Amino acid sequence: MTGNMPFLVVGILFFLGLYSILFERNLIKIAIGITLLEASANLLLIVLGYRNGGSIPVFTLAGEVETMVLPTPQALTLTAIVIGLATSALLLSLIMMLYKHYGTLDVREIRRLRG
Amino acid sequence: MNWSVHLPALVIAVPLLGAFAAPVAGLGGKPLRNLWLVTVSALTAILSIILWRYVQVEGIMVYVLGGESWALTLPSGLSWPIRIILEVDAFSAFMAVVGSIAALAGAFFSLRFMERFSGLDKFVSLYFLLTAGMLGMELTGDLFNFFVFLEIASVASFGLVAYWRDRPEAIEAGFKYMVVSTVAAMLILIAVGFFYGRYNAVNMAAVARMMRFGYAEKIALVFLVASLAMKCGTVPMHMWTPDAYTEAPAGVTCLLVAVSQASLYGLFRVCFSLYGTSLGSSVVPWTIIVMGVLSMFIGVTMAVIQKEIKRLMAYHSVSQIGYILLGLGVGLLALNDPQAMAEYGFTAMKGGIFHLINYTMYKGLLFLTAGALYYAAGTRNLNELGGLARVMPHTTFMFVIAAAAIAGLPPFNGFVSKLLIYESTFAVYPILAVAALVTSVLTLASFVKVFQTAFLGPEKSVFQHVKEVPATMLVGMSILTIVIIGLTLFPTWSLAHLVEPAAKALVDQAGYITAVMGGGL
Amino acid sequence: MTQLAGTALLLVGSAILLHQTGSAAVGPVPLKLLWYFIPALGIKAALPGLHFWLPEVHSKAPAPASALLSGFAVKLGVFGLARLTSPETGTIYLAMGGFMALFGVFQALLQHDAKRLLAYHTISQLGYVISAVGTGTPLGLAAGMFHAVAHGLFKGLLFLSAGSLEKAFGSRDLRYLGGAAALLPVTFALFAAGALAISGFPGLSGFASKALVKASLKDINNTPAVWVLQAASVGTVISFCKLGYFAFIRKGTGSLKTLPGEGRGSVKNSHRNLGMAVAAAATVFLGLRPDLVPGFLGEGGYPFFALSTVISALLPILAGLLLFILLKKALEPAEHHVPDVDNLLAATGPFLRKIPDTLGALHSGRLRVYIAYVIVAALTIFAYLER
Repeated sequence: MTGNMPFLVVGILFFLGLYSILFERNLIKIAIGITLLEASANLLLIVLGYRNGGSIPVFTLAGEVETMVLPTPQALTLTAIVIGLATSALLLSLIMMLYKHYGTLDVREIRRLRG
Repeated sequence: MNWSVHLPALVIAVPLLGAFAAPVAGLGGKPLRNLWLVTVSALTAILSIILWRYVQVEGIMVYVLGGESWALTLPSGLSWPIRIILEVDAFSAFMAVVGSIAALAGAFFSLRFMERFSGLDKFVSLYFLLTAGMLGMELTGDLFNFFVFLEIASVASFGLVAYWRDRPEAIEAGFKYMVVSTVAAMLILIAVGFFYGRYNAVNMAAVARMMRFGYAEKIALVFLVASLAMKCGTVPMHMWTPDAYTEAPAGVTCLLVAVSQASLYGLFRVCFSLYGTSLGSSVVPWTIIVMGVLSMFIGVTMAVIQKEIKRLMAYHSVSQIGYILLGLGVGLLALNDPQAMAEYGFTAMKGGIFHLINYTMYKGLLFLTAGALYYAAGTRNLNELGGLARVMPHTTFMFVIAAAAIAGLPPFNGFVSKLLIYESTFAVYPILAVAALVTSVLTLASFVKVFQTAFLGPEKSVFQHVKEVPATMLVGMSILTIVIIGLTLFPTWSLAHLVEPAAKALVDQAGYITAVMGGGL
Repeated sequence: MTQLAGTALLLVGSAILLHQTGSAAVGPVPLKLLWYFIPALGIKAALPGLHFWLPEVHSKAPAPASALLSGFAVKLGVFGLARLTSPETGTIYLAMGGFMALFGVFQALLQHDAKRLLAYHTISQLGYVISAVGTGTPLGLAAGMFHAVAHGLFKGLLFLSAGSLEKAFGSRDLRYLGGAAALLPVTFALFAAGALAISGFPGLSGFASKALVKASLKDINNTPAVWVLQAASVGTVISFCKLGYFAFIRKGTGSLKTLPGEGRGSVKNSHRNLGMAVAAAATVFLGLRPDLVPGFLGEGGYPFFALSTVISALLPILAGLLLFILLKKALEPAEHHVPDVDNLLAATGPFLRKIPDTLGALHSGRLRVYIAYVIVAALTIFAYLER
């Protein structure tokens, strides 16, 4: 019996991610926060497609099992994970470059562009 | 078989192919790569225009990806669509034309402008990815697909904004843009999840048909509106705009302007087609109007005090987005009331949509001229520039046209669209029209300042060696100039053939749903 | 900075004017809407309180621009006001016009900058136009338009002569000028024609148009307004005596010399005189044959040169001359300070600058603050949606 537990986890992950983006100073931790946000969104999609006691949605299993979890969210999640991977990679490489240029990972000091 | 049914897919596929084949073309050296960049951009633009013509004649087009037949939206007797569907109505096609023209101009401009950089194969790839993402956002009829294309466009634009990796500012701008926009993208994804949870569908038409305005929908709406408004640079979420627009190479900025329009497209697609009449209260229209007025005013105020030419223009684009939001927000306000719609709502929407194309054209041109100034003079600081009108007559001419258009001087196209917005907003609430007018005046003041400091004034000895920019850059700029002049000379034609069908398509929610879901169900 | 603000306001005026002509049929508007239009057009027409941009702009702009500005730009506003006239607005216009006429001339008397003096006279002359328009009669409208045209011509002429002075001597400050008549006799003659015209000397355009204005006021039996305008005329005469005397006639300080290449008979100077001569010729022509002004008068002509009108025109001139001779000492150009709204303008400058500064501080470059903005905006929308 899963009930609303997964949604609670999604919420916790979401706010953890938001918290670390808003209140952490280290750029890497901000990147982690973004990854947490992504994870919460992905988890939300998966949970939405879950049917109690369902099995994997594979075409050849049709008829053999009673319920299947919904396939669409899984496809969506896969896509979202790939996108998330690209984002994280780019984010981390930008952080690396920032460190090279600014010599710091403190987000408060990266503010040359203002006004 | 009639090949034109494949147009929606082709418009997206051509730049995607262009992106992935760019390294191959790069093997042929500089000439082949440049040829590739220009050819693919031109082909995309031509295809978009054909698509637009086709939609004009045939009405809304649907295209099912991966189905047995590309017109079969509801296979095997199902009552909801299961495949990814591209849905192109007049508004989408209009946006695709606007975006691909801006992309073409940016491509021409970048040929020589980017020569000073390395890794140009990757530049070409990213440029086409950005184009493909933008066009995908505009043509898709699927919420998740929209998110995917948004992310394609975003990732490509992060790379392009931070392209000049020797400049700390470019990296900083790219990073900030990236963090803010990734958070926004996650909000969109969560909103898509909500829709899926409620309706078991991610197709816009299917969701729109079943739409019941409940709690989950409200949250999803807030997520969508906030994040899309952020992506198109609306006050108070515009902070990334000046950074990113300033630091991106000029040709890319021209395209970024068009990409921000794609987010704007998404915002209005969500408000008009997805929620449409079920929005009920006037909170969302007023939110959009208030954001529009704030953007107009704060954007232009910040622009007036800027010293750097591209940053100044970036703040102006925040302010111009405000006009579009104002126009379409007033249209949304009148959506549930046929009488108000006829009286002022439709005029406002026409104004907003006309301003959208005008804005993309002249703002793209302005960024290109700023890039040309930078290319020729080596500085973007207004205090250092001066007296360039004599050495760069063509650039000056095009700058004047664009500046006159953005300031809304009659008879330029910017004047026509602003007039439509003034008229209609005056009918709703005169103070809105006054705010728009004040913004227009400040815009004019600030561009007179730019013109005076950069182009007029005594010739400076530092700029003695400065020459007019190379021909290909001028070609890029003249494409946009020609469009502006065309829109200026034929405002009636543009309104009747370009703008009105788009505005009608946006209002016609039922038609949008029927095209996918069929009439009978 | 003030010039920019002035221009911006000017543009607001013209933009609203454009908007209004573009969207609404131009005609008498309901009184309710009038409060949108009067300030908008009033900025252009330099109604009291909204006139602050005019002296500033005039004294900074080059002379030909000033000439055009006073000839046409301010008239646009008056024209707009004239088109909006309705019985209710008439009284407002009359009161404003009378006040403007007196106020402008009073301020003009105290100026020592030739162009500022002229600029304040523009306000005063516009007062005539607006009170004529305020009568609401066809005669009044015709008189107002006639005076607007006449004023455009002679004020243009006067601005150009002030510009000539500035070009020739490098200054237009009455405290330093003097004796220019001997050095630039042609310029002086043309200036005199303009000055006489603005004073309403019979035979020049100002006479004819002022006579019409007064006639239109008498038509509606508004004697106080006539007397106010007569008083303003006296002031006009005095202040032009002042301008003429201190700039042209008075023995200079001796140090006054024309700048090199700018003296009498120089090519530049004669070109300028030629331009002024055209305006002067038009002024004289309008004055001699006012009946030729097409369409301004109804069926019957107006007896411009009747004895009573001539006397009524000459009276203020004589009075003005007399007063000037009596008060010459007091009118010695000097730094006078009279409270006026343009002082407020200087005070608003720093305040206006605060707005972008504050906004600029919001663009702090702090990434986390930016994200906070996004979240706050989203929450605000949600809060309103839930209400």
